Amino acid sequence: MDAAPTLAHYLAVSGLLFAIGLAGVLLRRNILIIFMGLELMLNAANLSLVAFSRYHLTAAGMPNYDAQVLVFFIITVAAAEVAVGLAIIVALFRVRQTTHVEDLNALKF
Amino acid sequence: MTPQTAPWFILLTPLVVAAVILFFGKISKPFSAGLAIAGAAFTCVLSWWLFAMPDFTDPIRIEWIDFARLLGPESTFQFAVPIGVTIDGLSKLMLVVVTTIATLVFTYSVGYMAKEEGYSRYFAGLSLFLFSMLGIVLADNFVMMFIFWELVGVSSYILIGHYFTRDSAAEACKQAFTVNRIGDFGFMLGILTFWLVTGTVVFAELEAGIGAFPSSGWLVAACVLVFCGTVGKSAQMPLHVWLPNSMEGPTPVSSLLHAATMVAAGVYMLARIFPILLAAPGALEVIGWIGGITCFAAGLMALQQDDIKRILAYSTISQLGYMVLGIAVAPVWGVAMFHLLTHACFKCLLFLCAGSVIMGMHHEQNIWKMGAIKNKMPFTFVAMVIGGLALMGFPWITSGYYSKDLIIEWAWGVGPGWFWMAALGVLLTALYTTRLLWVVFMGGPRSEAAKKAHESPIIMVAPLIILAIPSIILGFPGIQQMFLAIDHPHDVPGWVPWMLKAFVFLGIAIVIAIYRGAPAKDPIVIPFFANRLYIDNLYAWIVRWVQDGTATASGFFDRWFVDGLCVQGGAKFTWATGFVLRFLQTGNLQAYALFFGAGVIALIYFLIAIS
Repeated sequence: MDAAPTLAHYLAVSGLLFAIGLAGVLLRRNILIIFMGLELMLNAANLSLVAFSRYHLTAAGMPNYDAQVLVFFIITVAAAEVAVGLAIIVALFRVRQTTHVEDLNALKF
Repeated sequence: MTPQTAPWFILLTPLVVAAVILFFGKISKPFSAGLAIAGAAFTCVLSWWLFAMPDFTDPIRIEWIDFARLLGPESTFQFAVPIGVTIDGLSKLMLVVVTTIATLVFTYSVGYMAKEEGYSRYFAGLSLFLFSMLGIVLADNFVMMFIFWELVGVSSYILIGHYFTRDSAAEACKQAFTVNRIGDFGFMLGILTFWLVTGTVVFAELEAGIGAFPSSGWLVAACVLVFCGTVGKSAQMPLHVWLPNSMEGPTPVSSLLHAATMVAAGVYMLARIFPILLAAPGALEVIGWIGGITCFAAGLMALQQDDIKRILAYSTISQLGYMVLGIAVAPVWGVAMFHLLTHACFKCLLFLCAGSVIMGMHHEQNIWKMGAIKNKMPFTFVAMVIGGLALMGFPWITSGYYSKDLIIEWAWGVGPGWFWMAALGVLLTALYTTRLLWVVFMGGPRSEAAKKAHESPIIMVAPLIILAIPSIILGFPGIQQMFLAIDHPHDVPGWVPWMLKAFVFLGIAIVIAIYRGAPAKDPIVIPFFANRLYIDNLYAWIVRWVQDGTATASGFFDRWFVDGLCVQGGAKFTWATGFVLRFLQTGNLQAYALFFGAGVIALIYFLIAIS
């Protein structure tokens, strides 16, 4: 069995991760889990970026580090976003005593 | 004061008087009336003084609008409108007529308006009218004349609508202004045509400039367009309908504006451009037919009216028709102006007498409610008979005889159509005038008011007596020569003057035979004449169908296209879109996420699909 993984393998895993994250966002009730789904989608994007970096070499035979730099930015921004998002969720819970999205439906027609 | 500055004093005094009365008229009634009369008398004295002076060209002339100065002489757009006065035989004569009659009517108004509302407003209006009328008389160019032409329209509007709380008066002043606008529009086009071709609007330069017309057809068209102004202002057919309705104004207003002076402005304007008209025989043809038809048809309408002022109004239209005809048939403007002069005296007199009768009858205007008041109002009776005889052209002893016969004799040489309309007009004039006088003054009293009628105060009777004198003597050849130089036609057969005299006597005899027995109502009823040949009805019909039709169509367009489709349609579409889209606002966070995700997928799909 040929063990060397190709770009398609990485992209498939990345797509799978993205789909799992999206399903979590769309289907789960608890807003914390939804938040985790969002993180999963971000990391799916990171994985595909790293894979592209690895498989699209530059003229000098080196990986394309632009994508990896972008991944670091995403991780940094995601960390900040998680801090803000969790703070909002904590504040929301203090006001509404719930983390279920179906209870958070005040803004509607 | 020199004769050179006098015209400007004459012109501007009434304006100043009008302004002072307007702002300070509340002080007292005698203040308003006294100031107006003093102003009119001042212009009158100056006019007579000027009349005795030789002609001169205006040294004060102001270049009001001058594009040559503005754009430089090399510019192709040359338009110059001066404000200047013309002092020649024509304007001096008209000045004397206007200011003298104005002074008498102003004086008479003190008595007539004594118990009426809006006393100082009335005198301010009269002074404004006098200013405007003198502006027409003195104007030395078309544009200045047109401005004052519109100003007399405005003052006429104000004065007809003096009793504006009455619906009929409000309607009448609106109608007078609107109908005049129709004529004035033609007048304006005519002025523009003259300016476009000759490059000037000054009367003195126009005569030399008419050689610039490319063909005689253009000249005729320009003259006919200018004549439209006369048709409106002088109430010629087919724009005569406003004049009888203008009788809603106070009677002295009818006398001054709608009989003696303002309506004569159209004839004066034709006399002013007379040398140009002589170069356009086609235009004179049109003018003659309009004048002839007017003098005949208005005489027919006057036969069957019951309102004392309306009879006189139709007779005014008829006599204005004679003047317009006089312009068309005679080789000098003096013939028409002679009739204008005598008509101004006797028609003003007749209206003032009518006002006196109306006051004596406690504001009754229907002649079939009058009767047998000749002994109760002796001065008015005598004065009105003199005026009536002058209107009929009673042979030898009245001014109207000389002036009217002159026009008809000139018409003989031009064509049988005009001659017979004018000659039969004499018979009609005798018929309706005698009917008026007989029914009002003779027979038996037909109402309580007629039994209790009383003579008017001296301030009203005095102008009647003063006006009665020129109504008689103005036509006598010796006196006439003081005012006008007139040619008499030479080729008129001897029977023509005798036939005209016979018509007068015949008319008087017929009326006395019919109305002798003091009937309580008109023994002769001719609906065709009583309904003014149905011309008013025709106009009402046209207005109803054309104007209401246009109004309905544009109302439909406005309501359904502009309002319905553009304004409300836009609003409804926005509202409906919002109504549909608000169902997306479910309040479910995950539904929004789904829409968002679906949107992104769709976007990506389309981006790939189009690339």
